[in-house]
This record gives sequence, structure tokens and C-alpha cells, in this order.
Amino acid sequence: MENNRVALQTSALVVDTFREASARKIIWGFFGCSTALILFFLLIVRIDVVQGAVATMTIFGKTGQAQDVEKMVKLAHGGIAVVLYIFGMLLAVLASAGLIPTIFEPGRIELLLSKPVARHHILLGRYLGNLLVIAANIFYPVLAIWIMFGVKTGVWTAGFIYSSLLTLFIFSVYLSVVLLVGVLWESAVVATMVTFASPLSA
Amino acid sequence: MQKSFGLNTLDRVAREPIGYLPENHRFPTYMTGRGMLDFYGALSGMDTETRRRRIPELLELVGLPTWGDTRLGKYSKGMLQRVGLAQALIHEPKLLVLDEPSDGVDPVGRRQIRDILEALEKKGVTIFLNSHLLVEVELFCKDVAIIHQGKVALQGKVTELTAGSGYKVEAENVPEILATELRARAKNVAQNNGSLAVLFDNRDDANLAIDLLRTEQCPIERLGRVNSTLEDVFMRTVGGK
Repeated sequence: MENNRVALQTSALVVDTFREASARKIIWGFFGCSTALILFFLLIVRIDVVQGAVATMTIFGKTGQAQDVEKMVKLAHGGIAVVLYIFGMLLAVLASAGLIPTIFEPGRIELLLSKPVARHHILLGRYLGNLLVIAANIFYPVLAIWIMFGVKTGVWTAGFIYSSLLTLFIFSVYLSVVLLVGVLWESAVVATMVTFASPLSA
Repeated sequence: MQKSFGLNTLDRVAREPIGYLPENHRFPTYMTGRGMLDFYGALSGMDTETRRRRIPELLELVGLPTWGDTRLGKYSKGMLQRVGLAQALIHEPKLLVLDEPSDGVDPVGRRQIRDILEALEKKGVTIFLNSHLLVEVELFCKDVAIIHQGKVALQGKVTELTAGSGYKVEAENVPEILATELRARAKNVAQNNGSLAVLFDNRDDANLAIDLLRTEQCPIERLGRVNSTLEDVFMRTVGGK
């Protein structure tokens, strides 16, 4: 009974975070960027495979030398993972910094606190919702690109998928900083600044 | 330690029987009325089936049955107050705490809110209402407390606090000599178009005035006991005039 209640409240907080991310166009912004990235790779990468080796690989109209298929795909995956990590993380922190402190707005937090939900539960529900919003936006391009390369080359390495899990884990750490700063200062700007500064101080 | 229903107020269980509508509440504008009620209902621990049954009932109760699927950003201030009241009622609380519930609501809406609160009160719900609209408080509340500089300055039943302000006698064609005599005994006098309205502190002075007016054959227009308004009580309590 108690577990049902906790699950019900958590799912309400998670769904609310998704609704807010959608209303603020965060989800759609990510979706647009990710789709553009997928289309970019879909259109510019042309690979012709001949008997387990990449006969030609064409990017931006330039044709490279033939290499081992798996090595080539891993190299491409690695490059994309780095791009996703740097730019994706930047966008994710910027987007999340706005989502966390909004629940502390006067007139909104009073309503939340008046409900029979523990304070840490509200925070963790919001945290989880935010994490899932970003997870959806990481897995969408990663899976799409992974499938695209897999279909074109027949190489299905799991490393690229693991890299997205690692990216999500690192983001969860950054999100903890966003949450902490959001609780302490209730400011999206300060949350962003401190989160970006935290790796430097470490 | 602050306690509610015998429990620490920080304990979530203590908040289960309480419905709350804060002043200057800010509902997320991306939510619809129905979505907002569903969200706060879920946070109150209500299962999906109960919420599905309860939400249309509440929208009907607060006079917004056709507005459930409209975003809150399009609601007027009065509508937000009413849907806010629905939010406070979603889990059928035993204690309702309302902070300025009539703020921004038109007279029809105020009447509607008052009717809802009266119906809840009859069902046994305890209602704690905080308001600066003293006329509203006087119309609805049975017990009041006036808080001044953070402390309870006065507390009691509305009927007792507003009772016994004086006795008012209003007559026409009062000769000047008699008017002067009445003025000398009166607490307050108002003269308008040949009519003299005199307010006395006690019943004896009022009876004497009636005798004198009847002797002079002055037509008496109005006669009765006058109560203070809650505003009078409030002003006296906080040291205003």
C-alpha cells in the first residue's frame, strides 16, 4: 500500500517534469537537434562494404581509404560519442538548470509542500524526471546512429551504447550539483555557473 | 515542535487530512485544470480511479465543468482561485486552510465559494480562512482571531465581538432645542434632509430620546440596535479609528 503510494507520487512528479520540459520546448529542442544529427549522418555517410572491409567510405563527398569495417565503425562511434558527450552535456545542463529551481518558485513550492509527500521525495522525483528527460534525448540519437551504422556495415558493437550510459551517469552527477545549487540558491543561472565550474574545481 | 493532528508537521502523514490554498499561488500554466487536479490528487496519494471520478465532480462544484481541458494560462484570476479551491478539496480533507480565497473573484464567484464552504462546513470540515476582506469573514466565519504584529490580539465568536455597539433612533422634523439635547447624550449624530439619526451608547438614553420625540410628536423613521462591523472591531483592536 505504502509502496503503491510512493510509486504513484513518484510517477506524478516524473510525468510533471516531462510536461514542463515539453511546455518549455526542451524536449522538442533536443529532439530537433538529435534528428538533425541523425539526418546529417544518414545523408553524408556513405559506406560500401566489400567482403568484410570498407571498400570506400564517403563523408562530405570525399572518399577515404579502405579500412577494416569494425575499426572504422568504432572510430566513427567514438567521434560521435565525444561530440554527444561535450555538446549533449552542455545542452543537458543548460536545460536542467531551468527545470529544477522552478519548483521552488513562490506560490508553487507551498502547494507541493502542503501535500503528504516528504521533501526529499519531491526533490528526488524531480531529479528522476529530469534524468529521464535527458536519458530519452541521449538514447534517441545514440540508438538511431547505432542502428544506422549497424544496418549499413553489419557491425553491432555495444561500446557505443555503453558510452551513452556513461554519458548519462556523468550527467546524473552534474544534475546532483544542479539540484544542490537549485535548493541552496533557487537560481537557474547560479546552478548553471556552479555546475560548469565544478569540474574545474575538482 | 509544531504539531498537526498530534503529529509533527514535517511528518507527511500529518498533512494528509489538510487541504491548502495559499495566497498568490502559482499553478504551472502548462497544465490544464484537469491535469493540475490530477497531479495534486496523485501527490495526495489518490489512485487513478478515484481521481478520475473526483475531478469532474470538483470542476462541477467550483463552476468550471467545461474548463477542465483548458490550460491554466488562459484562466482568469477568479477562475484560478476556484480551481485552486478544487485542488485543496481533491482528497476530501478534514481541515481546509484557505489564504485569501476570494482574492480577485467577482461577486458571483465569491458567493459561489461561500456556498461551497458552507456546504463543507455542514459536512463537518473545519475551515480556517485567512482574509483581509472582513465583510467576507463576517459573512462566513463563526470564530475569528485578529492577528496584529504577529500576535493574536483578539479572539472570539463573531456574534459576540460585533454585538452591542449601540442603539440608533432616526426621526424627522426634530425641533432644534430637542436636537441639541439629544446631541448632548448621543455617541454619534447624523443629519440629512430634515432627518436626524442619533446613536446612543445604552438603552436608557435611547428610551429617553424616544419619549422626548413622542412628546414633541416627531415621526420616528427607524429604531433599533446597531452592531459593530468586524471592520470596526478590527480597527479598534489594531488601534486605528
